[in-house]
Amino acid sequence: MIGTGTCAGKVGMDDIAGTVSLSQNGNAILQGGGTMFGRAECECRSRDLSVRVVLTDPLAQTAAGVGSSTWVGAVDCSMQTNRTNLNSLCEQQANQATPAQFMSIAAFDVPISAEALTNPKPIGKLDHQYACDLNGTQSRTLYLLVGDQNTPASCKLPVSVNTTLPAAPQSVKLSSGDRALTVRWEAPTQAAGIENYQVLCRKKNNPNLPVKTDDYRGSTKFWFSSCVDGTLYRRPLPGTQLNTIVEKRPPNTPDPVPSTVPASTFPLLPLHICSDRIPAAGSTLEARIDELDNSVPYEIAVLAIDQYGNPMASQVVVGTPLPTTNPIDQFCDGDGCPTGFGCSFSPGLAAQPWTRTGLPLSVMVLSALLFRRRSRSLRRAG
Amino acid sequence: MIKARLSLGLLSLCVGSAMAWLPGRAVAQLEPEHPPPAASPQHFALDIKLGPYRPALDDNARLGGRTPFSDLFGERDDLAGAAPSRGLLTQGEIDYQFFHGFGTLAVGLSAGYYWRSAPALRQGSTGTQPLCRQAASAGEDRRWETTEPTPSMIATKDYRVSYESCISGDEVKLNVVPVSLLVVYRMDELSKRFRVPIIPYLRIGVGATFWWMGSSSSYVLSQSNGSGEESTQTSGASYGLVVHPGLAIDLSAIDSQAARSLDSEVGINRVSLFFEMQGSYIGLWSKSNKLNLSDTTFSGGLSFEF
Repeated sequence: MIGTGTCAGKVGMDDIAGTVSLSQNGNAILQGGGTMFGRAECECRSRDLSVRVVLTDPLAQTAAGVGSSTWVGAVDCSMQTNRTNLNSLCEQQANQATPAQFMSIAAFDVPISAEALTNPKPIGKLDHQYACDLNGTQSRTLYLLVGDQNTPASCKLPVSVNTTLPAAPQSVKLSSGDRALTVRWEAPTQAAGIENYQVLCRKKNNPNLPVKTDDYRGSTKFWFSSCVDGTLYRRPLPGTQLNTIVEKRPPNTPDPVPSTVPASTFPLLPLHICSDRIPAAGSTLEARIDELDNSVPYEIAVLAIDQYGNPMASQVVVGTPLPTTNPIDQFCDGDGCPTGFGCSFSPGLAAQPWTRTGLPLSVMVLSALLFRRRSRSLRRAG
Repeated sequence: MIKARLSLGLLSLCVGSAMAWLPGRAVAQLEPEHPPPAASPQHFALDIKLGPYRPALDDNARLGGRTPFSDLFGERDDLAGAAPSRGLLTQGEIDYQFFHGFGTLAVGLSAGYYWRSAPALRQGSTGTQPLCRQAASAGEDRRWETTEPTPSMIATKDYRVSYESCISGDEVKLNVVPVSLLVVYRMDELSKRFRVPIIPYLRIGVGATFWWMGSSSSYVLSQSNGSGEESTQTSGASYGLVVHPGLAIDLSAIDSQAARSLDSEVGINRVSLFFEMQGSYIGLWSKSNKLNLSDTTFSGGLSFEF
């Protein structure tokens, strides 16, 4: 099953058994863990994902001294021939588990390189270029081998890699509202694989500043993964449900792979998010972006996002929020507007001389009568 | 007869599940060898009704002949000043029947909801008036003119603009909640004594109709008080009288056996289908600083007495 694997085999006469999954920063990723690798991971050559091994039947202490290695491949790298034949798609990883780790039930993580997953170096090839392979979804398997080189015990984790960008949303249209813009779009003809949409926006005349507040961006996730200038901005992973930002050029990491995302589209930065995700399965493909400034032009792009976090921006459209009138203003006259819940006198009625003088006079006379009656009662009682 | 019985049976099934919570109702099967059980006590009526409604907002002397409701919410193809089409008013009513003699007398509380939306008009650059205004007189083709004409418009004295250039992508929404306190008289003697399933009735009372204006951006729009410092919510209420004469068809009288079954199982004494005139005279006083939310229309629905 994609994203979950098993450990099995023998080292000498000693059995090994356990499970394998992906992990990020010490958190296991189980559900959906096999679809973590998109174009952004490849381009940024990310190193923050690991293989997590949990052994239920570790090696006995007597097995000390055996060798171990980590491999990534498109073929069965547990077979020695595939690890030695020229041009075989098996690449050995620099990071590996120590044999001692196979002798414990304690979980351990082995970091993996994203670019090797997306584009493993064939055996014997010296001038391999880590360009991101854009040929659709590829199946890869991570191997942690331990024991005899010919017949090692192995922990295998199948994963799925997809660096192909989805098709862009079509027919993006904006309509102006009061301090708001409503953006509507259509799904592309090739909409298969698109899970979500998300809207990006920026001021046309001030494109580098975020439009939304820090609070908004702090509480709204970005649902795409992008690699911009070597920094990886990653969608929430199933295990953590948190966004990840891996800073530019972390120590001991190779240079990023040059981006293949068209440069003319909207910069795919979380800084510019102006909506939450809009599920592709929903009935309406629209979003209202509010708390904008009236009479200021904004650039808007809609991202189509697939299950790997790969984003594709629509054409950029420009719109300007415009103030609107309150319809009740049309019902107002010189005496005011018909708002409020009181049983007010009509202005015409209030303007009558008898109302202006008669009403207070009536109240005064009534008060005087009541006072007089009370005084009489008190006198009688006295 | 069979059809009526079937429909009443189905109705009893639906209503039965809804009313099963009623306390003190014996749930028992009717057995032919026993005499029919006495009718359960009847104190309440629950009515659900639907009908067309259109507030007479433009019928107000304060407006001096202007027709803002028609201009904002009317159909684009209609002539200027034409009243917008009626929308759906959904209402519910609960009555307490305190008198059972020659007919029943009850007090009731009724509430409903109606809304109508339309594109919001854009504001002019000065921020004090709309960008456009309806320039046609009542009965003419609608004609929108800009309040901010270009020099060429001024030169030609032709200020006409398209409706599309006057509206925003936002919508405004008028929400209306009519609430009434009623006295209800049902003359059900024909049904009781002669098994003629017709019940004339009259509801009369006082009404308060609450309203508010919302938009795409806010549930209740704010309104500046003119000084620009404070704002109030665009909401209010108008008051008046309501009169609802009507006729009900006593479905229970059509099939007494099914009616008895409905009564013994879920405690519903009578189910009737009704049709009534809806006379609402709310905020009619044209000089009053209130919206005129009156309408004379009709509605129909189902009534359950229990």
